[in-house]
Amino acid sequence: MMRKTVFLLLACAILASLWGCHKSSNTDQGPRRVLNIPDDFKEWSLFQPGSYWVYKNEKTGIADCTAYKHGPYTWQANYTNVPLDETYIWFYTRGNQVTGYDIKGGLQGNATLLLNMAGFYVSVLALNNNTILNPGHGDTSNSYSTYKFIERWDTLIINKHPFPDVLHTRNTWPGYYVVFDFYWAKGVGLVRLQKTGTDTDTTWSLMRWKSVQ
Amino acid sequence: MVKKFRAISILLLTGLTAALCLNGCTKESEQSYYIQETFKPWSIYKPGSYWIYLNEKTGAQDCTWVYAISRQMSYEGGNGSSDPVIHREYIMMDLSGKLFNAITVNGQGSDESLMEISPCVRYFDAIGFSNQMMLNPSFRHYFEVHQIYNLGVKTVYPSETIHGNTFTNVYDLRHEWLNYTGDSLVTEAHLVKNTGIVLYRTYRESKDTTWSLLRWKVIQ
Repeated sequence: MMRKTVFLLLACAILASLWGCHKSSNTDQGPRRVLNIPDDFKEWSLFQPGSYWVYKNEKTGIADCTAYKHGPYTWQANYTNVPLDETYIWFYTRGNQVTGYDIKGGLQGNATLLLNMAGFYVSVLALNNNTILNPGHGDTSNSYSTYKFIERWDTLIINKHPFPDVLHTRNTWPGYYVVFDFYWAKGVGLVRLQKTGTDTDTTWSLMRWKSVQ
Repeated sequence: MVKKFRAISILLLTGLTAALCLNGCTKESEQSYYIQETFKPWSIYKPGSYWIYLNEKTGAQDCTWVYAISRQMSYEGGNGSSDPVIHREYIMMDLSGKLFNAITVNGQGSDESLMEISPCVRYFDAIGFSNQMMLNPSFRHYFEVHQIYNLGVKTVYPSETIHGNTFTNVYDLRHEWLNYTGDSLVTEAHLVKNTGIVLYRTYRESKDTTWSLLRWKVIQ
């Protein structure tokens, strides 16, 4: 009886000492998830050096070129505190509209493309893979902005050029009084960009381009 | 007798339990980190010190001088937190001039101190140097998501002559990085013991500016 008591108390002491500095373990967080960028999404969003896009201002007629600056850079984030691996690919562009493309793998086959808009120091969600796979199912918002699918055309003619399968997405930033409308064509990139502010409304439409993929 | 023994056992084991619990989470004793004496000739400049630089492109001159110095011990940890209590020596120098506006030095560990020289131009990062960089010069390449930069001591020149003055053991402190829009930026500061920065170069997408030391007076 006494031995049993001593044994129990000793066991309690060891358990208590271990509990005193208990660290949460990661073993109960499920299998490791890898967030890759689907190949199909890359055809919409990922370009290589040598790419350029010349846009025409629909109001003034002036042209502006977005040209590949450098990249692409790939980074695989392997988190140790959660069982998660995320893939990032980004590249920089030179121009007055877009200064960078930032692609990231998402959950359950999703992936996102954020654009660094010139003069707007926040990345803007411009396209995600859920929108491509199932338009309307990629809509998302946070406390700053709302991204949503607007329309999908079988063919959209821009500057007399017919682009097949064009996706129109919109990102609204109420706090900044600005709305970005993006028109995407697979294998080409951004074919039209509309920026709407409180007293500005500028549309840039693609005239010439070279999309290297 | 048995009851008494059991009571003593319970008492002893309860004490043991408590001791083990407390021992498992024991706090480290207080630490005080001072700036190493060997690092001070590189980093501490008292009021009255000045450096006159020449812009190598425009020929303009600029005088940087120390107008104030202060020392304090910071206090970290404790106050109920599990972090150990650390007292850290800080020495701050306020500068006047167009190139730099402050030098901050602090004790980081028993063999490490950090020095930061803040440039006046906003988009250039501070120039960093440390006791360990002085002892073991190295230049490191960093690549992380959306962050690509190289940082450290690029070269230690045995000697360098600037405007007729020869300096020995010159540390080329280099920082090369890409900013948000993918622009390349570089800062290059040549640091000399008991003298300070003898050459300061900044580069940002084709804009290259170099300031080199003409005259100086250092009070340490």
